[in-house]
Formats: sequence, structure tokens, C-alpha cells
Amino acid sequence: MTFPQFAYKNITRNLRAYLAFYLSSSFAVMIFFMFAMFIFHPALETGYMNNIAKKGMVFAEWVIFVFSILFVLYSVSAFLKTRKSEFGILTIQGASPKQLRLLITLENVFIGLASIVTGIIGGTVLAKLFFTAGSYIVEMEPLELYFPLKALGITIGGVFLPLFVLISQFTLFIIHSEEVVSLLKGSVKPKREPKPSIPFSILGMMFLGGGFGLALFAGIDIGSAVIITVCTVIGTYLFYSQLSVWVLKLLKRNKKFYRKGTNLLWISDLMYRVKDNARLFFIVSIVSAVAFTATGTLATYKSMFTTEDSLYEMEFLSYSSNKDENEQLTYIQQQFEQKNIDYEQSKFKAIETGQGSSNYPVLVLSYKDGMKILPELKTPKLEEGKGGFTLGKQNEKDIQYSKIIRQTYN
Amino acid sequence: MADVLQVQDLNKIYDGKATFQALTNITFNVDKGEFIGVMGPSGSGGKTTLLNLISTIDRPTSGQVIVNGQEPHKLKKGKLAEFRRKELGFVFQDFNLLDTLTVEENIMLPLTLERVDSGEIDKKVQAFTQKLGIDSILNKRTYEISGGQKQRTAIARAIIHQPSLLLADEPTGNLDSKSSKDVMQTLQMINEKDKTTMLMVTHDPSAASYCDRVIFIKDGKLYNEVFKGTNQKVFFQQILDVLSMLGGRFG
Repeated sequence: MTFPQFAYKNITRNLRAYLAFYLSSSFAVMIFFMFAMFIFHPALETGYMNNIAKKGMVFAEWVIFVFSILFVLYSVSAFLKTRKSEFGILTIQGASPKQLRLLITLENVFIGLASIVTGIIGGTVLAKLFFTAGSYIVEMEPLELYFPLKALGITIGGVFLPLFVLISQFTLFIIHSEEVVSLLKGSVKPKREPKPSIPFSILGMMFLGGGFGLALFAGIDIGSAVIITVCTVIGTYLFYSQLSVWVLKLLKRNKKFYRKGTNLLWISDLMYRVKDNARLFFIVSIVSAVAFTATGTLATYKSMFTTEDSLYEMEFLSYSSNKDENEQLTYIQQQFEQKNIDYEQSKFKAIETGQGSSNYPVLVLSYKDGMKILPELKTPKLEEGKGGFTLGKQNEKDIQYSKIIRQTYN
Repeated sequence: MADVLQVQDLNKIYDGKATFQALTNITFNVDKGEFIGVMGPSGSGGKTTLLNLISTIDRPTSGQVIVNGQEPHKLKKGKLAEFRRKELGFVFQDFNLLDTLTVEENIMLPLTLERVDSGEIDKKVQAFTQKLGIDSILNKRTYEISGGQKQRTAIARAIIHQPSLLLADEPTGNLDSKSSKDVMQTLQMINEKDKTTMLMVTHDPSAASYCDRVIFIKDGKLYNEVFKGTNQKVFFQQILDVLSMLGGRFG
């Protein structure tokens, strides 16, 4: 038996211990990769969805990134805790620090790679669902699955592979700083009974209540959004670490209930379980919340954007590359006529142009067409080579003129 | 005869909520080939602490431990690993076998870490397991064998690299009396045949009666020592006498 063989046997014969670590890492990779696939989708690079929404997604990805680190770090440390006595035995049998490092690094990279592969497969499936569901919500063509080279690169090379290597070095540091005697005793150290703090439990309730209350009844602007987020994050943490244990403790104190049947078993067991896994529950909750909220916000934002910014009740936008334009127009007109809807049609040509990376593209039309559509604007006469800028229907009254668009019209 | 183990003025103080002096000025020597027992009233400390300090599992507050002329507590981590690999063998109360490995793989672990040639490993495993009577269970996993077999596996692992010093911490603590006797006879046989120097901590007088000499520790201080004459039964009685004195006077 050589040392690498030993490492291999260690993993294959103890799969259950590695399984939890592997699955939780896969979960982190999966969520991260799904968002990366969305952000780097080629269809989104050329417009369609506006940049603010995309920025929101990038922000969500950052949040997921930070929590992924915490998540993987937590899984690794929980995983290593169960194996302390094993490292103690190896040390006492004379395994050198170098050999231990090799063993742990090998294991971490191996499990890391496996969970990256699993996470990416899972993420792709999830992304497909996400794209379909998302397109249903915003009523647009489903985004197509694509070969996500950039997303793959960032997920594998940019984030998770370095993460697994770094974390394994970090855990080695922890192991080396402990005396062998505490390593040997490591796995059998008695657990202290969880003691919830009542003030913190109440505080947690207040934060959660406050957060949800604000979200339900207060108007949403940037300020209240921040308060709501902070409240629910703190509240969620206290909920898992204090409040849930406290509730169980109350149940335990009720002797009539506690001493009936299996109640005694599950309550006392759950108290330890909840306490042990509070941080994990917290991280999973936050990551899922971010993912869902980001998706939801995106959907609402898109629908808000379409109703508020249109000049007309209905718009048909056709690019010059659209060969079926006439056919489609005829179809729309037929629909109107069939349903006896009175309508007025105005048609004009426009040029799409960007206005910096932070804003969505605008349509530029000629002065003549513009006056025809919006006679109430009473625009001052534009000089040759200058343009005007209007912020759409809602903001008709504050029309600003600027020199940001330099376009000469024919 | 050369001293394999020298312990000089060893002190161990545990800092914590209440500072606690576990060992006070312990000094003794162990000759090459000697089989030493360390006893004391169970629970009243010092025995296991002493063993942990000698075995480099824990660090002394002051004093020296010298094994074969080397001071392990002054070695750097890489050197210390090599020291453990070459000079020390361990037998524990709860065996400390790796349950991911088979009996055979557990036994060869120290040689694997030392990167000994595979053919050489096979030869040694065969020789030692035959001697210990466990050559028929080599391919079993640790959960498939009895406590006595586990301890003999641990002993094989502890001596396969022919260490200068074998350290045993309550090796019979988890065993029934039949298995205890087997294990003690095994240790005695190894001590006599291979001239392996041994130090064993125990609170079991019958196990201690297999030793050449027994050191008694009470409240972290050396209390007494008893040498075996020619008769194990007489020795056993002497040990019991000291123990009852220990208990009687201080209990």
C-alpha cells in the first residue's frame, strides 16, 4: 500500500463522511453557475434586457459568491471535525506534516472537482428551467441554452477551484496548530447543551417581524429595501441560532408534553441538531432568498419597464434585419379588425444607440418624425448636428435637452 | 545498560478555569529491554498525562524527556514525525485503528508512511502477524473483529517498525479478562523475544504483574516503585498491597 493508495482507500471506504461535504459544495457551485450562465448569456449582451436589471443580477452573483465561500468553508470545517481523531492517529503513527498536507489537499481537490462537475450539470439543468420560467413571466422568447465558456471559466477557474485549494490550506493550518492530544480526543469531545439566550431570541423575533412588516406595509424604496434586508438577515440568523432552540427548550419545559412517547427523543435530539447546523441553515436560506428575490425582481422590473416607458398603448418594434415585417404587421392589423378595435397607427424609423454602459439603449428619430408623434413637445428648433432627449411618456413635462446624442439625420 | 528513556524533573500544569498541576517533578529512567508499568489510583491523575508527555502527544510545562539520546519536544515538526515513525510505537485503550482500512493495512501504515519497499512490507507483516496469531484475519475490516483481535492488531502496528520504545495506555481497559490475559501475554512475549522496551500505563493490577517493575504515581507525584522478583503471583500481591496503601492512606 503506497501513500496515494492509502488516500484513495480512505475516500472510497468512507464515502458517507465525504458525501455531505460533496453535496453541499455541489449546491454552492450549482447556484453560482446558474447565475453566471444568466449573466453571460449572449442574448443579454446585445440589449433586450436593460443594464440595471443585469447589474442587479451581477450583484446577486456577488452575494452568492460571498456566501458560497462561507458555505464551503463551513462544510469543510464540519467535515474535518468528524475526522480529527483520524488525523491524530496518522500524526502519532509518524505521518509528517508534508504527508498530511498532501492527503488533505488531494482529498479536497478531488471532492472539489467532483462537486464542480456535479454543480455545473445541475446548474445547467436549473438554468434551463430558470430561462423557461423567466421567459414565461416576462412574456418573451425563452433564452436559449448556450455553451457558456465565460461562465464555466469563472465558476471553475475564477472561484471554486482556488477556493477548494485555499480552504484545504486553511484547514491544515487549524490542524497543525492543535496538539495531537486534542486531535485524538477531537471526535469524542462531549457537546454542551445548547443554551439559547432569551434577549437574542426576542431580538430575532423583532428583526424578523420588523423586516417582514416593512416589506408588507411600507413603500419600497432604496432606504427601506436596505433596512428590510438587514433586518431579515439578522433576524434569520437569530431565528436559527437562538429562537428555534428557545422554542424547543420551552417544549422541553412542558413536562406533560415532553415525556409523552417519542417527544422526549426528537425534541432533545433536534435541539442539538438545530444548534449544530444553525449557520448552515442560515447560509442556505440567504442564498436561496437572494436567488429567488433576484429572479422575482427581474420579472417585476421588466414588466414595469414595458408599461411605463411606452409612448403608445401598443408598440411594435422591428429591426431592419426582420424579413417578415410586413407579414407581422398585417397580422396585427387583422387582429384589430376582427375584434373591431379602433386604432390609429403611426410608423417611423429610428436608430438604436447606446448611452453609456449603465443605461439601456435609446431610440433616436429624426426631428421631423419626432414633431409628428409628439406635437405637444413644442421643441425649440434644433440646430444642425444637435439632438434632443425625452424621458418618455411619464415624464413628458420635464424634457431635457442635452448634447449627448450627436447624430445627423438625413 | 543504556537508558532508552530518561525522564527528568517533568512538570505539567494545565491552565484553565482552575490551574491544575497534573505532574510534579517526575524523574525516572528505563533501561533497554525493560518492561515498566505505571500505576496509580484510577482517576486521580498523572498516569495518562505522563504517558502523553513521553509519547509527544502533549507538551510538558518544564523538564525533559529523552528517548535514545534525543529530546523529542525540541524537534521541529518534520523531524518529530520522523522521530515518532522510527523510535515510538503506540497502543491505546480504544485501539485507535483506522476503520477505513483492513487489519493488514492498519498494521502496515507506519511502514507506508516511511515509504518502505512493498515486498519488504509484506515480509514484515507476515512475520509479525504470525507471531501475534492474527494472520488469519488480515483482510477483515476493523468492525469485523473482536476487541482482543483489535488490540493485537494495534500491537502489531506498534511494533512492526521495531521502535526503541513501545508505549501502551491502558491496553486492557476495554477488554474482557480472557482477552486481557492474551494481550498481556503477547506484550510480555514481544518484550522477552525482541527485547523491546515498554512502558505501560494501567490501573489493572493483574496486567501490571506482567511488568518487570511498576512505578506508582499519586496526585501527580512519584510515590513508590516495586520490582518483580521471580514469581508473578508474589509480584501481583505486592502491587495490590501498594495500591491498598495508596487508597488507604489517601483515600
